[in-house]
Amino acid sequence: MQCLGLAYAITPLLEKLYGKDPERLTRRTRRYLDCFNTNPYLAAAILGFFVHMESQSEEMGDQGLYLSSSLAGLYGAVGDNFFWNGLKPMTSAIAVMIFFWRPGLTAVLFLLLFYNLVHFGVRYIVYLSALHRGIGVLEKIDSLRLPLLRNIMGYVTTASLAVTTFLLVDYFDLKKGLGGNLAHLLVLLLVVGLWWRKKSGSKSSFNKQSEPV
Amino acid sequence: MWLDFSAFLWITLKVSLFGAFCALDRTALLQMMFSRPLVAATFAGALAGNWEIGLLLGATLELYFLSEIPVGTIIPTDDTLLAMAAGGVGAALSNLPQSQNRTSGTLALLVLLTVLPWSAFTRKVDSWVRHKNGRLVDEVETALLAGPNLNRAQPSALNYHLHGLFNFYSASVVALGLMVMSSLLLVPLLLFLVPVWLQPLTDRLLFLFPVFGIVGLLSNMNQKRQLAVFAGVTTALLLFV
Repeated sequence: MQCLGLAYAITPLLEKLYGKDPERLTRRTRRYLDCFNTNPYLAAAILGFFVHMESQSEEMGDQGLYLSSSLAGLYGAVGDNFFWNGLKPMTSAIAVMIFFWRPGLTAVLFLLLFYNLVHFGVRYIVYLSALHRGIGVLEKIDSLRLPLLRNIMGYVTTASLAVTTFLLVDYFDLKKGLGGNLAHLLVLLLVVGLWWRKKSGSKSSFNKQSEPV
Repeated sequence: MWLDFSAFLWITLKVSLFGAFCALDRTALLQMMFSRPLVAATFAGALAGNWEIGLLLGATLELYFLSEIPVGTIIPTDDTLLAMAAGGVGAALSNLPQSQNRTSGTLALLVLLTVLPWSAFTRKVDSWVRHKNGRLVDEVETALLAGPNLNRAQPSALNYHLHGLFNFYSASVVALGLMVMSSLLLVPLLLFLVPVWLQPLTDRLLFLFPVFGIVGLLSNMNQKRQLAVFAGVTTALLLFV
């Protein structure tokens, strides 16, 4: 489905460049309908790169398309790791922590504002960079140090989960009849026990399934 | 015991038609996190008249499904649809007379028990829509080849793209409608069957869902240092708070 979105996004440029030659326009539009799959946020970089190349000439546009399969794979790996493995879990974990600490709409606001600030920022930077510098966008993405940031976000996520584990005891009033520290310790033991069971490969009831495409 | 028919229909329509817009945010449009359970369930709760229980259900589901990551060709469970259905049903039923002597924890637990079995169904729906949309590319190619005339070919490409969005939206409306209706029928029955004396337990059982979510996330982490951070923070909290 991403190729249809890509063709849709680049159509205004193609119309501007080849609008007077319908056959050429159809041929160029079809070229952008080839299989295309990458991280949806870093797709902005590839779109900017296509616009940069296609604006120069049809041949350059073909070269851009030729390079795009490598770029899509690279951006897919980097983007998925940063956004899906790093930013999304971190923002969600902090938002849930905020909820169990102070129940209210602050958690929702934090999730929406923080995530979108970062993701729109990255989209904007990589799109503009690709538009002006073409393949030079690779240096720009490299300078953003997304893998390093992802590692830092991993630590923040873990710390938030630890605090949430602690807050769950108070929120669900598990201290009743057990005492504060014992309840915390029992919940922690439950988390560690379930984690150990899952890590050691047991098929537990909370193992969720995913559907391959 | 149940909602009256007009309220039943009104809630189903409202949550399905408006909630499906949140579902679009998941993959088809924007991806601005309106589709996260925390946001979607709160929105559905607000639509059905009680955002607070929606928020509780959203926070619970947010952690529960966070470990499912849409990397590569894997389609994870559609937690947006589940959260929308749960938030809407929870909020609608919180005003029932038999819910008045129950706390939100028990009601939320019963709602989750009726909504979560739909997980596999949501994956199937998502997969089906993607297959259907995958075929649109061939249709666009055919349309482009059929008409070298710009005025015929280009609008067709545009229309097929919007057609893909409509496929996502309509599938979400139907799936949400089914989930909301089934839960609106089942939860009042469960509320009737679960004795009030069991409430202290059912209130607290909800905490298991975030715990499962935390365990899932910790299992996804392959760096020992991250686990050391988890152990360090929990130890510090136990000792000093």
